[in-house]
Parts: sequence; structure tokens; C-alpha cells
Amino acid sequence: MTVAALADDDFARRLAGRDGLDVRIGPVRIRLQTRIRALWPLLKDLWRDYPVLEGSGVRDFHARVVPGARHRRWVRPQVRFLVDGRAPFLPLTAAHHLPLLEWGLNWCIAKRCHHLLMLHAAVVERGGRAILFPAWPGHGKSTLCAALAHSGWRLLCDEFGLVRPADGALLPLPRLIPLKNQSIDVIRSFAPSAHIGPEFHGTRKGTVAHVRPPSGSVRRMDEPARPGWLVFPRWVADSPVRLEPMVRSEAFLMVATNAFNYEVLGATAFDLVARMVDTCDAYSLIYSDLNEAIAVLDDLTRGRDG
Amino acid sequence: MTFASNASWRRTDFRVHHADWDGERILYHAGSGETHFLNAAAVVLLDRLSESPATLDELRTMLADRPPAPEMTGSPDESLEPLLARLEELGLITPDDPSGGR
Repeated sequence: MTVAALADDDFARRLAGRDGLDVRIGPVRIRLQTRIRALWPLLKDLWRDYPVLEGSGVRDFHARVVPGARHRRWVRPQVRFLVDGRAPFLPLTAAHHLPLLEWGLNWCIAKRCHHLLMLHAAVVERGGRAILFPAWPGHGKSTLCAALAHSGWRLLCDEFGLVRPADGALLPLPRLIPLKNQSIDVIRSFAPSAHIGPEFHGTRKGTVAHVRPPSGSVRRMDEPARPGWLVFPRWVADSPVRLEPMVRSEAFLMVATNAFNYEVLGATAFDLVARMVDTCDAYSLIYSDLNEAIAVLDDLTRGRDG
Repeated sequence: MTFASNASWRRTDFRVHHADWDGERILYHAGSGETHFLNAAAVVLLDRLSESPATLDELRTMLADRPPAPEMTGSPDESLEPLLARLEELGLITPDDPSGGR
């Protein structure tokens, strides 16, 4: 059963109830409990394709979004994110409940899922082979990922390149794609079919809005992909598109230093990244226009799909 | 820094994982948990010391017989000793005879 299949009142009852709502996103099982009513319709809409878990079982973490301190109930109210009863962040203004929840879940994944190598990368797939986009914040990774996810590529994840140690396969984690500032209108214009949630203004990252992962990507979230290409993107205003091969040792260092848990996994992480760099061609991509960027990526991957 | 010509080194016993591309090497040192980039000159030295211990003179002779590595600035003599010191600092090589030649 998916979130969409739950009646609104059942969905709200589960979220507000003591046991919360159990959903699965790729390999991650989340128990979420919140009585913040404003979140309910947003999650019903943006999380609609996620399967709901019934019965007992292992949950990776228990997350709660709760009102801030009692004395802030009426004056500049706040909202807090709790995981397993502890608050890893300072509270945010109450209106930023969804960004806080999504950032909080990212934090939980990055801190807890050490059975997988977690690269800081967007990942999309076509024909069984994936492009990984490792990038620092602000390099246009999410925007490019959202555009590709609405251009015939399957979204694996916008933030985490999850690598399974047993075989180096990439596991999908089709979370919401957070767009920031100008990127929101860029994607609205580029992909009118993209389903984008409300805008949250004045967050620590400016204005944020979340793209719902395409339903097909969520339906196929149990299908891993093989790494095919490493592309290090950087958005540069007014720049013509440039795709240039990278030296493998440089690609290795950029992937490894960009991973969430390279040091935690040690030799296992080294071997996984080395294997990935061995089997993937690596490129730097500078772009300003999404259509141009997607065209060069289509050219790059054509003939090696499948 | 100046080492005596009979100072010698050998590879440490720590387990390492490595990947080589275009003569360069990325190496994971299981003892320190650190990952290092080695240029072609460092790879040549480390591989030589993996075979058997060698003295400064022997390493100097070996490098003189090879085409100069582009990463080695200045003369091989000037570049060799800092490189050996750095590899030692990283725990990749160790003096073979701690009392000898220093």
C-alpha cells in the first residue's frame, strides 16, 4: 500500500498517533510521527508513491517533527526535528517544517546508513547504467538532476549515491529534490510536468521548494543500477557547455573526499571507489543551459546504454 | 635535510590497498586509515622499496638510470630526499637500520 492509497484521515491518524507512519524509501525505513497539521497534506502529496509499512519490523530511525518550546508557542513559533528522541539541530521557524524534516532525514541517513558507502552525489539511470554527479553544494547538482529526471532518465537520488559493498551496485533512494532560489523557476520552466511543492522563503538556504520524485522512479526503487559515468557538474552563468575528460586519480579523490562515510568504511570504501573509477569514464561538466547539458550527456551515454 | 649516503629504507608492513592510473597511484594505508596520492616518482620509489631495502645511494642510482619524472623538480638528488622523508612521515617506508647513516 502506498501513501496515496491511505485515506486522508487514516494518513493523519497514523502520523499523529503514538506509533507514527512507517514508510520505506529505497533501502531506508522511516517511522515518522508529527502532529504538525500543516505537514500532513504536504506529505500526503509529496510522499504519495512511497510504500507504507505495516506491522512490526526494523525501522532505521524514528523521526518526529514537533512544536518548539512552550514559551515559543505563540510568539515566533518554532518547530523541532527529533530522531530517536534527540534533537540534532536547533529549532527552525514553524513555517519551515518540511525543509526541516527533509534536512533531518538526510542527516539521519548520512549518520546511520554505514552498511552502504554514501557518496555525496546525484544519480540518474537509463538502460541500467547510471551517471553519478558528485558535487559540492551550489554546483547545480540538484537542478541538473531534476531536469534529467524529467527528460527520460530515472531518478535514483538527488543527494546520496548509495553503493552496495557486496557488488558495487547503486541503490535508489528517490527522495524529494530540494530546489533553491532561481532553480525553482528554472525547473518550472524546463519541466512543466514536474510536481513542485510550496515555496519556503527565508530558510538558511534561501527559498526552497521540493520536487516530488517521478512515480516511475519510486515504483522502481528496488532496481539497482550499475555505475556508468562520473560527471562532476558546475553551473557557471552564461558559460557554453563544456564536457572534458578527467584524470582518474583526480576523479577518485573528488569522489572519496565528497563521500559521507569514506573514512568510516575505510578499506571497503577505497575498494568500492577504486572499482567505480576503474569502470566509469570521468568528466567535468560546465554548463549554464540545461538543454545543452542534457544534450551532451545524451551524446556521451548514447550507445553505451543497456 | 640531508641523509647519509648509506641511510636505507624499506616498505613498512602495514597493509595497503592501491589503484594505479597513468603511472600515478592512490593508496589506502590500513594503519593510518588515510588515503594518499602518489605521483610517478613516489610510485617508483615505493615499488623499489617493496622489493627489498635500499640505500640512498642505490635509490639515487636507480633514479639516474630512469627518465626523469616530471614531478621531480630540480635535480633528482634534490627531490629524492624530501620525497623519502615524506613517504617515511606517512608511514609508507621506514628506516631499515635506524642507527645507520643518520
